[in-house]
Amino acid sequence: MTSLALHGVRGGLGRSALLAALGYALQGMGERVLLIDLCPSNLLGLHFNLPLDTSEGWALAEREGRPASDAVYEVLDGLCLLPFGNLPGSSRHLVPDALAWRARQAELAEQFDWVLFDLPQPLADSAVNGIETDVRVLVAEAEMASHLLLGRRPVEHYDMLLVNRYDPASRLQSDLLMVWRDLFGERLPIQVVHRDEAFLEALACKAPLGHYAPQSLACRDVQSLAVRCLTRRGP
Amino acid sequence: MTLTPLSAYTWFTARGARLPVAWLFTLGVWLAFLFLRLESPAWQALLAERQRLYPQLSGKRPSLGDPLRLLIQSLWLLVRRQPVARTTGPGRRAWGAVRLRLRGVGQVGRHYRGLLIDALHRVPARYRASAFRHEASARLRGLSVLARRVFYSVLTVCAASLALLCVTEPFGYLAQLMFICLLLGIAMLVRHMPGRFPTLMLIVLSTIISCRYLWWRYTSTLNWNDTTDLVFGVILLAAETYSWFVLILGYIQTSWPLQRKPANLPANPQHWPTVDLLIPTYNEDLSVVRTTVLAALGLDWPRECLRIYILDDGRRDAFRAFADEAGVGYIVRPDSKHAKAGNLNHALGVTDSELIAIFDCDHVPVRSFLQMTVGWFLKDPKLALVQTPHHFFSPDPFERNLGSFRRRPNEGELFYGLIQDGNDMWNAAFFCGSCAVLRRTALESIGGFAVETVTEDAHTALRMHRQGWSSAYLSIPQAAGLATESLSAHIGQRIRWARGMVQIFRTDNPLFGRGLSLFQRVCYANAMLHFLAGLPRLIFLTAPLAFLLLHAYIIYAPALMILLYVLPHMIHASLTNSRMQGKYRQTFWGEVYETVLAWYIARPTTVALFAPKKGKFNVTAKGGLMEQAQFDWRIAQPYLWLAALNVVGLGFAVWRLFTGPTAEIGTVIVSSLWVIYNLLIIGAAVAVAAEVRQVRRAHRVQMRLPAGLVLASGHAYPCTLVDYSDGGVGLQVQQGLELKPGEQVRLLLNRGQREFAFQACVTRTVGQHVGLVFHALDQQQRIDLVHCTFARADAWLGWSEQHEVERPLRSLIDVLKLGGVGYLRLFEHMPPWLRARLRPLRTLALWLASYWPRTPRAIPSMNPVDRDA
Repeated sequence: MTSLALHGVRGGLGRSALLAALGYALQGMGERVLLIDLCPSNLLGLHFNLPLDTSEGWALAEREGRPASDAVYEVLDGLCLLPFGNLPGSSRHLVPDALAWRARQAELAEQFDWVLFDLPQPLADSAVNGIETDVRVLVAEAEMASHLLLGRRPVEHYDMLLVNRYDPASRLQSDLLMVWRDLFGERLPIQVVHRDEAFLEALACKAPLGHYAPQSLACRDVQSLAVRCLTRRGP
Repeated sequence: MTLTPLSAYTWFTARGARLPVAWLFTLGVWLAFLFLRLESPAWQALLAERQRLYPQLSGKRPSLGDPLRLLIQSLWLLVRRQPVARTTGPGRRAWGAVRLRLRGVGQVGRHYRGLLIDALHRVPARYRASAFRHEASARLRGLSVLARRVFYSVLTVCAASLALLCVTEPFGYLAQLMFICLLLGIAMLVRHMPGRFPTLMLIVLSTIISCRYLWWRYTSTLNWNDTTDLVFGVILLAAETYSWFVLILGYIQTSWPLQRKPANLPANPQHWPTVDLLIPTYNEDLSVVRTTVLAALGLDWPRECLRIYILDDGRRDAFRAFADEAGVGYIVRPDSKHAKAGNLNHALGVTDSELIAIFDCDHVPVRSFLQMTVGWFLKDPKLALVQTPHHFFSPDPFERNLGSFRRRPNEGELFYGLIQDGNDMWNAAFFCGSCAVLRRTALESIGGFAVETVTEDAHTALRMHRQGWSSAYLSIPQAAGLATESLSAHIGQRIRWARGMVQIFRTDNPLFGRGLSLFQRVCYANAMLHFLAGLPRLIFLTAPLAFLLLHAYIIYAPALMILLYVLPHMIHASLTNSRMQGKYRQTFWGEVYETVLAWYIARPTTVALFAPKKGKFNVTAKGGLMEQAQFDWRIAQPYLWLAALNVVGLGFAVWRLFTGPTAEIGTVIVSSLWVIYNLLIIGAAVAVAAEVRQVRRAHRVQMRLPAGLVLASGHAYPCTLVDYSDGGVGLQVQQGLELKPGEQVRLLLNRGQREFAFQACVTRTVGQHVGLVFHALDQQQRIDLVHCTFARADAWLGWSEQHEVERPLRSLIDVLKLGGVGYLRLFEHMPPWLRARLRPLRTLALWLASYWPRTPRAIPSMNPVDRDA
């Protein structure tokens, strides 16, 4: 089993959507995938057509003393989802217990090939004291804020740099990408996902990208990302 | 409507058969259903494919000759090897089952032949690994130098005397027959072995046979008693000696192509030499030069080490403005003496880099050109020249008019693919005027580019070789340009080359003079002698007429003996050339190219041979867009006269067959076969003169590149770029993507790791194929577009992948068929009164041709040339 998490240099980069599309692509290649939503905003399920008022989730199960596996939803054969759950009150700033999750990963190992974590932003910010996964992908957008924040991070800690919403017609974006290839090209492989309306429309239709627009350019880029992840698959 | 016993009659009458014919065929169909069980799945599958397998019968009105056509085509399909089809559907499998059942014996024979060919394929590897070889080489190394020399000289003397014996020993019929069968058997076995040594073996066999043939001609076939016989015989013998000479020199020249690889540059770009890139131009359009300059700006070379100059002999302001805009140099000179060579010499005086790269204004370099070529200059301080192939991305007149673009190698591929590579082995590769890099000090040592002859490029290289400089050739296409537009332009260009080469032969003969090695002399001499082929070719085209019209025995020997000597000579030459040149020129196509040029280069070369300074024969090039299909009467005129003469000769042959002495029948038949062969070759030359309509000005280059398309709505789709040109591109999109003409889109193209977006407009959509045109691109975007398309490092590398596999016999049949097609095209372009007279002849010819079996085609054509027409 291999675990993967998308870390963002900042919030609002579309990591949930990317994770959903990646999970769908991996399932399409025959892997057994489990997506775990660690964000209190509980939005990952909406990418897979979960009803809006679903309140079940691992945090709710934990609060009520049930095992977390109670809250697993099966989306497709080989694609499962564990939402956060609707917690009442102000206990939304729950920091996931890293040790507990490591133990849970071990018990999930025999049932799934891939476990994908959707990390909330404050957690994704800190490289340490967070959930340790086998594959760590750093997500950024080719714009100045990302560039500045990227400079503050230790890039050696990550396995891949994913540039989201890339538009080659924008001079700033193509120049920044060139600079990043120059700076990080040796140490960090770069994967580009193009800006595509289909990505935005997919959530509007509550479907993962690979299901909503299988012919789009963004879907092909995500499949390329999935293949690269497969090469980093653990034993 | 399917064919069943009940519907057979209506089936035939619906297709327009006359009543008695329909009755007869219906009876035939009933008998077929009764005895052959046509309702079984195997037969039904066959009937389902009948339009593809019997193309001459589909769409035709059923007539009495059809059963015979059916029979001939069925026999042909059973015997012929099928071309590879894409899918094995149930129809094909059923057909395969039927074939298998009916061809047991053929199957067994083929199986054993396959085993033999496999064994022959493994012979070189087994020899290399064998104990005999290891032992022998160990023994040889153990000998002293003197002993080895003695051994080799004894071996040489034995081989030479054996060869002399083979060549000069006169044989009777039986002995000659056995001799040629033996050598042919060896050749047929050897040609399946891969590697260079079997090629040398084939060369040796062919040389023995050809030398023997020539010896026999000189000693036994001249009739000294009769003056006419003697005169004609000597003329023919001189022509044959010329072609024998060219054959042998050609073998020497191309026996071991060097296949040089690019040399590495030092790791630090600071140590890379400075290069001046010169683009001479005179009266060409700016759009043509623009692409070249933009591609040159994208060469992978440190910017401070590369200086680009436009050398404008036309002194045009538009070019100066463009040069300023693009940031390249612009050089003019006060006069226009000595055309291109003078232009280059003037530029030599005002520039100062170590190396000079020269490009014709329409040859677009790819980004890796300098990195591939300059390495050798640093490796070898005496290297003066690195030449790369002239690659054309548009069809030349032969390919365009015969429809063979990218399916067969074109005329220039033999020279740039094999001959220059062979020259490189002997350090005799010469400058071809463009797509090359030269060393400045070498040019200065010979006083600049040569200006005395019309082909100043070869002359410059010859002078550099004489001074002791060496040259190199890299057979990787690193630039591409436009081929000649029309047949008259093509012939004009070749006349200029022929005249220039013969001028060099007269004024600066490579066989004499100092500074050249023996093999360099051989290679240069062959290059020049090649252009003297006009007169000998004309002699060959008219030789049999000497006997048929004038009853002169040009070859004074019995017909059977002639066949026993001539056929092996031709067969071995074709086999060896097919082995050595098959990838670069299909067998027998050389005859067509030579025939087309023969008349036109005969006079200039003969004049230049005797008076090098005189002679001004220039066919004015028509050039330009071919508005409609036309027949170039002016160019074809000499060949029509030759064809008419040969037809008269054929008439005489028929007369002699009926009224001449019986002893001469063999000779008459051999002569008429020769005349028919000549007629078909002339027909092929006439076919090239029928110019095909050229639809567009900007030539489309076919290539598959991954690309992306972003619509105005923000949706993006992957697609494939299938062709591009100066004006726009063609894309293949996925199924289901609908685009409307006039829609604004953005095209995403890659160049290495960078991606570019270009604003474009949809012009038309045909199924999955979409045409785009670019409107408002600024200068930088235009540069980027050229870099993504024309200037890709791998742009021209896969050009020969779509070539059909070369098979000598099939090639011969193609050329002969082309002869027939040529006469048909001639008929179509004739003035109406003549056409009316000759129509019955044409109808007769077409009726006879309808009985000829056809090979069904499995794969449709992807040629954009076909798509345009």
